[in-house]
This record gives sequence, structure tokens and C-alpha cells, in this order.
Amino acid sequence: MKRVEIVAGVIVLLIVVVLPVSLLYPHFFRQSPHAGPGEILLVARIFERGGWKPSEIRVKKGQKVRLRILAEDVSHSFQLMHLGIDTGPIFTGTTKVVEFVPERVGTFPFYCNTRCSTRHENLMGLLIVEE
Amino acid sequence: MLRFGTIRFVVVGGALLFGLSLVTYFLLTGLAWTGDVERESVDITMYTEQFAFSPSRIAVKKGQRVNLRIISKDVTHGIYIDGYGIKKEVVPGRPTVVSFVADRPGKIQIRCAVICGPLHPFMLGEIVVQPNTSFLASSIVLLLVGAGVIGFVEPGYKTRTGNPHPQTLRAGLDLFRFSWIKQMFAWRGFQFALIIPGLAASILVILTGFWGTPIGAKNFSMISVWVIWWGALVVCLLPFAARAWCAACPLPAAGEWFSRGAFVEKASRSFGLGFGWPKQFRNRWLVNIGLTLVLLLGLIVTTRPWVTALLILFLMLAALLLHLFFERRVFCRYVCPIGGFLGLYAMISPLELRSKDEAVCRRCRYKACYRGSSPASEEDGGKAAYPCPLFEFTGAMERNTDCILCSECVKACPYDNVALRTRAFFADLANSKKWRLDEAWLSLIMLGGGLANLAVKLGHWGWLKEWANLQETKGFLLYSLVFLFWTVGAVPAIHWVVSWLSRTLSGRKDVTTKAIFIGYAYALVPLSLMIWVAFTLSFVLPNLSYIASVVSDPFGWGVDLFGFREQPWTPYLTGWLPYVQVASLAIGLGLALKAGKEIAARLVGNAREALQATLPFGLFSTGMTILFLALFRG
Repeated sequence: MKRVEIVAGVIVLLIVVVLPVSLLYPHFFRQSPHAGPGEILLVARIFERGGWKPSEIRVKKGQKVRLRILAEDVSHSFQLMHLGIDTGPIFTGTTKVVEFVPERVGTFPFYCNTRCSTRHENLMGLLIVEE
Repeated sequence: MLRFGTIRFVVVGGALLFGLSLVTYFLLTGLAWTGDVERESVDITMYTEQFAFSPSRIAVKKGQRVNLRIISKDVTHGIYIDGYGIKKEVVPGRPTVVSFVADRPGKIQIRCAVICGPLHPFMLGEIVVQPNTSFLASSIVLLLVGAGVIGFVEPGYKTRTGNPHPQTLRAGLDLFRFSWIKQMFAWRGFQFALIIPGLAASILVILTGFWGTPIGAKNFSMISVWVIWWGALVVCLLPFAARAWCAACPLPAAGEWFSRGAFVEKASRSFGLGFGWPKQFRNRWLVNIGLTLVLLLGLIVTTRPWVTALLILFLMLAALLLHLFFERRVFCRYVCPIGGFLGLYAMISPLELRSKDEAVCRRCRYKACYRGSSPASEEDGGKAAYPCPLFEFTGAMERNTDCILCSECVKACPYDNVALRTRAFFADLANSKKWRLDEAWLSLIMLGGGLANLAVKLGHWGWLKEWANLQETKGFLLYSLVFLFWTVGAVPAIHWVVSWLSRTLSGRKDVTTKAIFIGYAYALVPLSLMIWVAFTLSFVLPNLSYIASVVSDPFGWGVDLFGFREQPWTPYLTGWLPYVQVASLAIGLGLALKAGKEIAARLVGNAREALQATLPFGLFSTGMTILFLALFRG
């Protein structure tokens, strides 16, 4: 086979095999692949599409938490009343960052506070603060 | 001494120009028939709901202060008012108040400003500032254009019979005189290099379509296909560059590489079975069916990432299968709906690939452009090349329709007898020797389907969008029925009546209605092209700013590759859209009527009869254009 064919074949292989694998592998097989360094990425989806992802967040007491919340499908917001947090509307496709230091051990529910679907009230997740 | 014809031309042309500029002035300033200006304000409560405003159309008087109180019935929406630069969010439970003075007459488009679901880009409402003089003035412009082209540009009727051979338009510049262009085309890796970027993009489109966010505006697949690709295709390539896209298209790449058994070089053996394409399918009917279906499902295809990904994958697989069984690119010539309408509009393009000298082709022993290069042709100066993938013989090629500019014939020709020439616009339309019924239908489908597509996507009717969105079966069936009735029933029927009237008025019983039906369908090609240009700009400009955020986060997963992911949505030039739309329609109508006159002359041959035969067609296309104008600006 000619060298041109081999080079072309390698280029095609890179596009058809290496590109998809390198994009999809971390997405499916790595823990929290899309979060920036030192932050937790929380994706908000309507209840009908699975709700918060992850729906449970485990953090350590006394350690600063940096939460980046992405409203994926429609506008949502993030409300954690025990810590006095309410981001207000996070418009679709954008993110908002919340930083806090949990001082109490316990399990705290968080909600969406911007109507996002007919089952908006069911959209709940848990923040679990451990020792 | 001045001839009478010249004087009449100058007087009528001058009056027309004066009228046109007067109307344009009124149109631009909005001064026309001002009447008494209202000074009071009007309060309107408006509700937003996925995916419509209600009321979706409001009439106010010019000069009134409009106080809009907007309440969301479901999720967070927003409001953007074209031309007034107002953009606000509408959060459920919190009424948003927007206030502005409606100082310009005409229709103001209002858009949802916060992504609210899949159909968000098409969630539109209308505020009509009355009196709607801009619509009236635009209609008059279109009527003047129609009357002007039909009645006064007399030199259009030449008593020519038979076919002017396209070879008479030889005067154009041969781009191959620029040695770098020639070298590019002669380079074996030319097409491979063209295909590679598109292949990478289409793989990314499939990945993001299936695994990215379902919200189109934040998904690379939707923005790259329907904003970047479609926008560039319709606005830049279709009017100017023939089927240049087809040379770079990645859809049949896998199939072609597989059947050729090579990526770049010319291989001696092929893997495909190489059957001949069945005779009964050697036409555009498959294209017509495919295109009608894609247009019917247009709203779903352009708003659901996974549907677009599936469509691309399906077309790739179809091309692969056809390449395995049949010879050459039957997919591109007889099946691909995109190739079909590209072929139709390629006839307009001011660029053509033809033989330099037909006599050389006739004497040529090798016909390497059609058969592929042979050792003998390569000995004689040609390069290794595949036969024309679309079964064209360059020496006899008279139209752009089936030339995908793949460059094989440029390489194959031992006599350097292939030219890439500039030429006059829409030179191929009047080539009556090549007129075909299936292509006439393709033209009518692009026109009728274009209107239906426009009404669904850019209209303010939320229920119509719901039906077209397959939300409930009954509504969708009803929508399909109406769509099909209009596109493949009513429009061709009206066109047939117009053709029959033309025949009757011209008094020529020897010309069949069918011939006129086909001929005039070709004349409508520039009109439907400009309508698609207007539609595309009306859709692309407002959504252009999504490109930055989508490039930074192709899947919508929350990553930020280049730091643009939080870029806010900014519609560009929407205040100019009315002018763009009216100008496109006027250009399209003018060109269609000019083509219509030439085609009428070709059909009936006599200037007087041709003029009479053009009248019904002129009325029909002007009426059709005003219908489009009503959708855009009424």
C-alpha cells in the first residue's frame, strides 16, 4: 500500500475511532468528569428527566464546598434553606456557583425554587454533611 | 436620432425608479400615511407558555406607549423585542413589565429570550404597529417589481426558437487560469482534504446529538448543522457555488472509500458489487419524496439533536449500502434529498464546470472523464482518476445539476480540456432540452414546502407548532394532511391552472400545458431560492450568538473549553430583518419573472404571445411572493 493511503487511513481512524472514544470514555467511565478542579458539578434537570444529578452530595463538615449548578433543560434554581442559600433563577444552559462551609453534620434537602415543570415540587436532592 | 423604444425605455424606467425610491423612502422612514398620531398608552397582559405567547399577536397604534405585563404560565421564559433592543426574563410567579413606544409602523417580532425547551428558537409572537404601512409599501414594491419586469423590460422577449446552446456563454473567466486553483483540482488528495473537516464535524454532530444535552440551542449538533452549515449553504453556497458542498460532503465518504478500496489513490479493483441503478429510479422522484418527508418533519429535525444525528447517520448508512451494491455515487445523483435541491439551485449559480472545446471531447478516444482513466489516457497526459461519480460526460454536460465539482474529470482529461468558468446567473434554467417533470415538481416542492415551513417555524401560531411537533397524534396527522395537501396538491394544482391559462392566453394550441407547467416551474427556482435565503437569515441571525457557547461546551455537559460557555444570547441585526426579507423577496420575484419571460419566449417563440403567456405566471408568482411577504411582515 502506498504511504498516502496509510496516512489518510490514520487520519480517518483518528476521526472515526479516537475522537469518539476520547470524548465519550471520560464521560461514561470517570467520576464527575466535567467538574472543574475543586468543585462539584450539580446538573439540574426536570423531575420527569431524572431530577438532580447527582441527587446526593456528600461533603465534609468544616470544609469549604464549591458547587457549580448547571440548569440543563429549562431554567431552575438551587435552594438549600438550612444553610440559607438560594441562587435565584439559573437560566437554561448557564451555571451559577455557590460556595459555603457546612458547620453542622446532617442530611439537608435542597430544592429547585423556580418552577420548571408540572412536577417541580418533586425536584429534591440531598446534601449529606459527614464528620 | 433617438429611437422610440429608447425614449420609452428611459421614460418608463425613470418613472419606475422614481416610484421605487419613493416607496423605499417611505418604507425606510416609516413616514407613509402617518395619520393622526396616538399619544396615549396601552396596557396589555400577555402570558407565556411552552411554546407560544398568548395573545400571540397584538395590534397597537403607531406612537402609542405599549406597557406589556408578561406572566409565565409554566417555566421561565423571556421576551426580546426585535428592533427595540429590549430583553428581559420572565420568571414564573413574577410578572415582568416591559414598556416601549411603538414609533415605527409594521410588524415587530417578539421572541422568547430564555431557553424554555426544544421549540424555544421558534417561540415567536407579533406586535403589529398599525397602520401597517411597511407591509403595504413592501407589497407595492413587489407589485412594481412584478409589473416592471413583466411589462417594461421589453428586450427580455427575443424571438428565439429552439435551444440556445449553453456553449454560447463562453465568455466567462476560466478559474483554472489561476494555476493554484488548477493545481488544487489536479491534486489527487483534493477531495479527501475537502471531506476530512466535514467528516470530523459530522462525527462530532452524531456524538453530541446522541449524548449531549437535548436542548438544541446548547448542543453542538443543532448549532453546527442548522445555524452554521445550513446558513452558509443557503446564503453563500447555493446562489454562487453550484454543488460545491457535495465535493466536501462527508455523508457518502465511508461508502465511496469502501467501494473504491482506497481513500486517495486510484485503486485498480473495487469492493462494490457495481450493479446498475434501476432505470425506473433514474430520476428525482426519490429525492422529491425524501425532501417532502424531511420538510414535513422539519420542526422536529431542526429542534431535536438526536433526530438530526439519526438523520445524518441514516444518510451515511444509506450511502454506504448503495455504494456496496451499485456503481458510482447513485446516492448523490438519485437519492440524497440535499443533493437534490442543491442540484436544482446549482442551475442558478454563476460558476460552471464544462469542457473547453466540445470538438476535442468528440474526437477523444479515451473519454477518461466518463470511464475513468486508463493506462492509455495516462500515457497521453491524463492523470489517474476515477470515472465521474455522477455518470456525467463532461463533453456533453450542459447543466450544473449533476456536477459535484469533485475534480475527477479535471485529473482524467488528457487534453487539459476542462474549464471552471464564471458565467451569467441562472444560465441553466432556460435550457429547455433538459427540462424534466420530476425536477419541475422538485422546484414546486421547494416553493410550497418553503411556505409551510415558514408558517410553522416563524409563524406565531403555537397550536400549529404543537401539531408539527408530534405532541399528539391527531394534531400531527391533521398537520401532515394539510402540509401534503398544500405542498404536493394545491401548489402544483395552482401552477397547472396558471400553465393552462398561459396556454389559453397565448393562443398557441400546439404547446402543451405540460410543457408550460414544466417550463414555468424552472422559472420559480430563483424565487424559492430567495425565499429560503430570507427564511434562513431570519433564523440564523437571531441564533448566531449560540456558536460561541456551543464551541466552548459542545455537549452541554458543563465544561468550558474556551471560556465562552456563559456567553449570553444576543440576536444580531434583527431590526434589519424586515428589510432583508423584503429585499430578498423582491430580488427573487424579479429574477423569477425575468426567467419566466425568457422561458415563455422559449416556449412560444413569439414576443406578443410570450407576453400574454407570461401574464398569468407573473400574477401567480407576484401573488405567491405577497403571500410570503404577509407571513414575514403582514
